[in-house]
Amino acid sequence: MKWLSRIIGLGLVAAAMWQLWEHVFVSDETRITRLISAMAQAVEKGNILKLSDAIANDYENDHGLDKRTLLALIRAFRAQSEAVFIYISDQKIEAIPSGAQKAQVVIVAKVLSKHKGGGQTELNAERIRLFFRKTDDGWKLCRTESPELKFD
Amino acid sequence: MKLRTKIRLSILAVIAGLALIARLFVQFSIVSGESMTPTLQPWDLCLMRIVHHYEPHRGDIVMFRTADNPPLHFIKRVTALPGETISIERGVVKINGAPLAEPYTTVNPEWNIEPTPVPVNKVFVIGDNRDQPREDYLLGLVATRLVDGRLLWYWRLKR
Repeated sequence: MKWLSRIIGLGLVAAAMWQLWEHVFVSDETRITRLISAMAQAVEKGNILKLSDAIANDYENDHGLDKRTLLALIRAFRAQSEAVFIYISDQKIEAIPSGAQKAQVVIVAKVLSKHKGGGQTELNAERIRLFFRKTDDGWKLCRTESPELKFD
Repeated sequence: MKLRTKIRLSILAVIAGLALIARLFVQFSIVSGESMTPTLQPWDLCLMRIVHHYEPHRGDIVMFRTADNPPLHFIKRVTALPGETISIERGVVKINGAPLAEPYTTVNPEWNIEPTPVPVNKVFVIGDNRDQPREDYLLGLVATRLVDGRLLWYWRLKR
């Protein structure tokens, strides 16, 4: 049993080191980038639970949708789609001062979706502004906006 | 160096040179959305001539970006040039009051816009698809500095 306790001990040390590394060296920018990527993957896979984890309970968007309605819409979209692929082609994280509790990110997301039943494949590009808030449970998406496009 | 190796290296150098030239002068883009149908359809592969200082010509199909960071890209047709006044009356596009022949599209009597002067350094662009209700994203004024490319050729990838 000695080897088992050694393995468990090593595992615990590795996990603690990893947590320390993440806490000390991983910037808020990286955390937010990872969160955006995880949210895109959750939509692709239809993992509403994982997506829900990343969204704050008081979420709202500029059309007045709350978290529940947003998740229901995404669930319906995934139910109608055979496959979804999301490519974040551009991302600009507004400067987050050290210790900041809020962050804004503008992304250009290209969404490729294939409708069920041999339907057509659609490609849509959207420019979205995401607002994040730091909580005890990490960064959470608390608002999204579709900013007006400028042609001037 | 063996002759065969020399030939291979020469071919690679030529390909790299062509790729570099292509990167400087042309750009590929895939159409999304239906605002340019029937001329361009979703998934058409467009070969765009990169332009740095766009000289406007009516009828050009251009790719332009928004002035946002990061930007979105659109493909539309240049319909009115700087200094002109454009209006749409029951679907008929008029430039300085005279109807414009548009063989590439249809006339949708529900489309109307008030006479709009096109300022210097701007063009008025419209999508070829007039079968849908008029929406702001289908037409409007665009600064010429935002024009990145002009359509040279396209391939229909999906039929």
